[in-house]
Amino acid sequence: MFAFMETPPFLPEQASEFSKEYDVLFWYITGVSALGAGVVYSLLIYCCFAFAKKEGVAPKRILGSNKLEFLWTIIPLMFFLSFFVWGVRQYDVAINPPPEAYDREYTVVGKQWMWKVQHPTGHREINEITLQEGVAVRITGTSEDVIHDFGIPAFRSKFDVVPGRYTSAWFKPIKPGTYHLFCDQYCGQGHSQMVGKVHVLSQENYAAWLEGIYRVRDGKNPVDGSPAWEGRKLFLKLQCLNCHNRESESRAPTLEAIHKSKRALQGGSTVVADDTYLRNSIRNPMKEVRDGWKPIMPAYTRAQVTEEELLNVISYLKSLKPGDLPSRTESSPAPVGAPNVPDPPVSPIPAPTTGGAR
Amino acid sequence: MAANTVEGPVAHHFNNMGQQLATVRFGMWLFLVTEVLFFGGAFCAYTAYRVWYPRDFEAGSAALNVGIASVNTFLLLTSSLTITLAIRSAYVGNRNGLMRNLLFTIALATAFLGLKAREYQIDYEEGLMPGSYTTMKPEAAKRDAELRDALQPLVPMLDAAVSEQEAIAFVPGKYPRVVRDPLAFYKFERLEHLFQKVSGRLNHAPDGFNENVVLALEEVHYKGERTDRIAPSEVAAEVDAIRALKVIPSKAELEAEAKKKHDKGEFNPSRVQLFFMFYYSMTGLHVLHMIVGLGLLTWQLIFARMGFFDHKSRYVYIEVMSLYWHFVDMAWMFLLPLLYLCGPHTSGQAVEQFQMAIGLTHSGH
Amino acid sequence: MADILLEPARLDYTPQMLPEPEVSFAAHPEHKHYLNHEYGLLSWLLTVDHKRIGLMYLVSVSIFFMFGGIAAGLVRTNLITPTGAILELDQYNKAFTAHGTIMLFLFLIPVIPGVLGNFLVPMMIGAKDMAFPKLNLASYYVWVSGALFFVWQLMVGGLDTGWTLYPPYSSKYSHTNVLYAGLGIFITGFSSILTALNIIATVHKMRCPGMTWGRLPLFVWAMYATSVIQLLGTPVLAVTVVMLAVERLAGVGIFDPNLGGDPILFQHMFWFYSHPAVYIMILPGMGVINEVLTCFARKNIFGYKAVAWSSVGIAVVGFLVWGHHMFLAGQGYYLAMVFALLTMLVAVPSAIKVFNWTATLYGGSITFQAPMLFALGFIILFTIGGVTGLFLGTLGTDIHLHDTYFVIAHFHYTMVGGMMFAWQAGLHFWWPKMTGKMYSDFWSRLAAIVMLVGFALTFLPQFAVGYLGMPRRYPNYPPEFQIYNVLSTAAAYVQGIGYIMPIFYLGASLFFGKSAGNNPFKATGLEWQTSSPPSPHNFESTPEVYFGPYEYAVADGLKIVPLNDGKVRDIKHEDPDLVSSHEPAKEATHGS
Repeated sequence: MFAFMETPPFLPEQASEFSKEYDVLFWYITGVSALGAGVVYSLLIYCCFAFAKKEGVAPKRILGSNKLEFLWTIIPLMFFLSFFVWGVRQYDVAINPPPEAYDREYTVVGKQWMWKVQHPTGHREINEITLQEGVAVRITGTSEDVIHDFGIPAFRSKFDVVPGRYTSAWFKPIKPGTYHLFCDQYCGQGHSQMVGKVHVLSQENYAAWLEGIYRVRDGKNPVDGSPAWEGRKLFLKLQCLNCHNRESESRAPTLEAIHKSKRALQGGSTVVADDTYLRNSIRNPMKEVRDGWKPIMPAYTRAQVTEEELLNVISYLKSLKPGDLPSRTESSPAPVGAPNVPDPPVSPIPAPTTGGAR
Repeated sequence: MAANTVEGPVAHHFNNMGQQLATVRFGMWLFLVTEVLFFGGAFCAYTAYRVWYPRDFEAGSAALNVGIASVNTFLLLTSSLTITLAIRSAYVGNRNGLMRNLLFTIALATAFLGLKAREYQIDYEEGLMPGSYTTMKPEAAKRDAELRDALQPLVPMLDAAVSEQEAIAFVPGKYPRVVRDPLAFYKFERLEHLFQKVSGRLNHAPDGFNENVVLALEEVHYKGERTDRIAPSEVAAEVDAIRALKVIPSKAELEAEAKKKHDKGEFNPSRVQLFFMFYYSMTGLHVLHMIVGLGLLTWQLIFARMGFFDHKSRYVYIEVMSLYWHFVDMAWMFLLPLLYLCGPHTSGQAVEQFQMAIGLTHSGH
Repeated sequence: MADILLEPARLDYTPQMLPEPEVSFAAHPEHKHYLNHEYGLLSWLLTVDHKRIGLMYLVSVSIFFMFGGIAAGLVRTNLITPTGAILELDQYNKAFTAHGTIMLFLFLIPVIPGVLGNFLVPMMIGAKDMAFPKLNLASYYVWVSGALFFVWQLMVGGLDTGWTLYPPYSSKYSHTNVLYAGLGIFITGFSSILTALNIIATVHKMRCPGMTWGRLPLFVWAMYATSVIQLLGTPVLAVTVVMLAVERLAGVGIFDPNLGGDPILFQHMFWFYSHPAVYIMILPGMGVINEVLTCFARKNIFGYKAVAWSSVGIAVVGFLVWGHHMFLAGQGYYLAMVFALLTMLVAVPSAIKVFNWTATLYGGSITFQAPMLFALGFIILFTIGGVTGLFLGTLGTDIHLHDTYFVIAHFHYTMVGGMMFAWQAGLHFWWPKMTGKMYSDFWSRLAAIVMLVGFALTFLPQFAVGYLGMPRRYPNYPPEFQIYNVLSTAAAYVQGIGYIMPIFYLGASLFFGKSAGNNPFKATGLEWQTSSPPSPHNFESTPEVYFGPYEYAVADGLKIVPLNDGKVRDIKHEDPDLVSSHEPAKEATHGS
């Protein structure tokens, strides 16, 4: 309620290459307009004082002046045409992406009331888009239902997404940070809920994010939707924490700093804990058991954790540094299969066939 | 003729007869300007779609009844003649002549409307109605059942395609990523498009898709809506074609495929429906205007009977009525070629082809 | 600059009260004016007197304005907190839609044409009534029934598509009364067309002798231009609403891309009317300003021809710029350029007018009663509104500002700061003529200042927050924008108080006000040559006009000489001795 007591923003961030150009034109028009308005206002105020009614002073009979009419037609017209020409140039820049942007094609689908962003790498985000600093990207959008508008004020970028056709824009972020993403075309009840975040990351952080191990911390909101965070939630939900915790290592090894560590297995061999090892440990734990522990871990089949969820868990495990594991007493979402919690709806897919597919 | 000398009462707010006559006429011209803009908006929208979907619109036009339209044109033009004669009768104070000419105009207009009603009836019988027109015919239920059967193989096929497309691979040395099997994805997209045609639902999200597939199928089973977009026989053919896919066609091949379908004279049913929507809206607006005009003509006839037009200056009301009537006539003269004459009407083949393409039996033309 | 002054100033001239009209009815001891010559409900409901019809519009429009204002209050109050203070999401959507549609269709478009246009245009041209008095009454009934139906629909189910009604949301997804609300809009639009038709025919055919086009008051020029726009543009809105209704009923796919339709086609057809519609709203206001400024500065308008032709120019070019509402909608690149260029062109006539008005004040003898305060407020606020339009008409800058609060601030500055203030100026200027009573000078000036301050502060923060990126039609917003919204809402309440004040002092004037006299502001113009309130037929005998409007700096002002005098005089502007010259008539036209 009292958020407004903090200092409000005064000018929008200039987070993209285009923003800087944009602001120059914006302030130019502002300056010219202020000049014109200033002329009018000063004349107005002057006349109101100088020509207020005085006894004995007659008003002048002035019908007009062609010269003045001409002047104040042509001069504004010249200024307006300068706005037009400069504006067209900017519009040109805004809608024609540079060639390198074609190598990074993002797609966004707007639907009531969310944004589904797809990266060229295959990553998918909901209501968020994570970008690398200094890299121009092109984004193409369409809508599933009504007209929406994908707008990022910090980039001075905005384009309508229309059902049945593709529209696009491009931008080159230049300043790391988190910025607003808005829907800028009225689309119904959830129009104001269709907001999101644009994360611009430096090169190293972006690479880490691609790996799934960079967590974008917003400061206020710890939940960021990265694969690692999703994995953490699953880690709790699937009750992994019951055995794999910091408090006691009697039942299962703690998994902190597991990634790429050497693991000694029963039977004498050593293996490096890479992604495949992690996946197999979850899917088929009896196959490779750590030396020193009993083979009591249950297998997690596809029915309990899907491949995509498994990916998220693995991302989380990879990101685990010493001290990161949650405490056993941390409250967690209701475990799968707990009583009084309805089971999630089962999708009417026939039983998965063998051979790699789901 | 000297306006000021025409005999008749001058309204309180006018200075003289000349001003009154000139103002009344001017007012009607202004109103007609608005009518031009009103019909013009509809014409513009129609033109836009005509340019975008020429074949579908031609096909729709080919199915319309040009014979009735021609007779109607003759009737309407003749009524314009009779109402102009009525002006003359009023001007010279010939009450009987005025009544006669008004009566002819009314009769011709009524004949127009009657024939129009008959034309709409024929169109209805031929199933040329926008919206779910086929459900108005008794064959609709049969088509529903056929479509349901044709869609049965779709369900497991879609599921298989969904799971195929989400094949996951661990690429060593890189972060794990979802690798989509391009072929599977393409098959999936074709199925999705096919499904759109059947259910009219747009789905871009593979991950929620299964639910939507089921829901949409239910809609097809239980509501029978929008089942007229694709004939049941076509579904089976499409499904087989998708099954047989081994290679992803290139963009050029896809375009060639679309062109072939286009040239074969296959029509997109929803676009043809759009034509009929325009047909009914625009001719409907015209009919509304004619009914209003008919009412006004009848009113003037009654007043003529009562001696209202014995003041010669009141001929101006017949004149403005005729202005309105000529406008209605002009609107028809534009509607006729735009709606009725834009397809190949010289051969009945076009009509047959169209009706077969949308799965209707030929009902005798 | 010697070329500007056409005659030396007369130092011994003091503005005089214009003599009592030399028309015969003023001499009658109990002369009946239009308000008291007939009593009874039916005499009002079945009246064909343009003045009574104007009053009926006044009452109805004011009531709907209050509805629209309440909706605005709901919207602004909800925006005090970032998560929405008083309304649910869908309620908010209905509230802003109600505010927009009511204010546009039931207030801004009909107010000056319906009230002042009906009341004044016949009098200003020396006619006894409009060209089609019964059509005038019919037009009022069509309007009020359409408006009541529309408001009923808003209450019963609401409309949540925004006043712009964009499909596919309005045609397929909205669960509100789009169909019936569209019908309401259709009906009120029809009335708009009929009023416009009446005004055009009246101005063409009913001018009194000597009232040439070059001598028309600029209010009449503005009303004429407005009526042309209404006549040409409104039918397109009508057919667009019909198509939307068909789409909603039959679902055939005119605007549905799944079925081959195009939602952008709706936008083109909608804005083809709705852009000229904003000129329908502002031009009559500009016409009023001409009348008020010249009267309270006691001067001719600077550049009569320029101002008259700029009204026509705005009307014509205004039809060519609709695409500037759709720069981001996906229309083609070259099309966008054409619209942007034309938008820059349409800005020029408005600029010319502002300069002309300011120059009108130069050398005048200015007093600051309420109509003048409103007129000055108009110039100040409309200037801001106009220049911020330039940002939106420039292709590059529109990208960031489209659909943000910047747009909202821009159009409120032009429509409220412009049109609303002009309406208040006109209402206050002609109130004594319409009612025969004078209102409180102090309270009216205070109301003007309260409205000005309240309004300006309401929308100034919105420019800032729009530039920051806050989108339109958002009931919730990021918390950092809160300060701007709170400031805006606080000032909105002040503004609201300003709007309520006239109800009290104008209402009080009806019961307790002094009798105003025929010409309390000593204005020129044929309407001031009638009694206050005017007699039922305005003029007992047809006036004759000898010189242009706004001849304030002239000894005796405008005189009427009854036709039955037998003499026809035509006197040029430049002749200082206006009463005594008897040159042969250059144009002796009767009912041209």
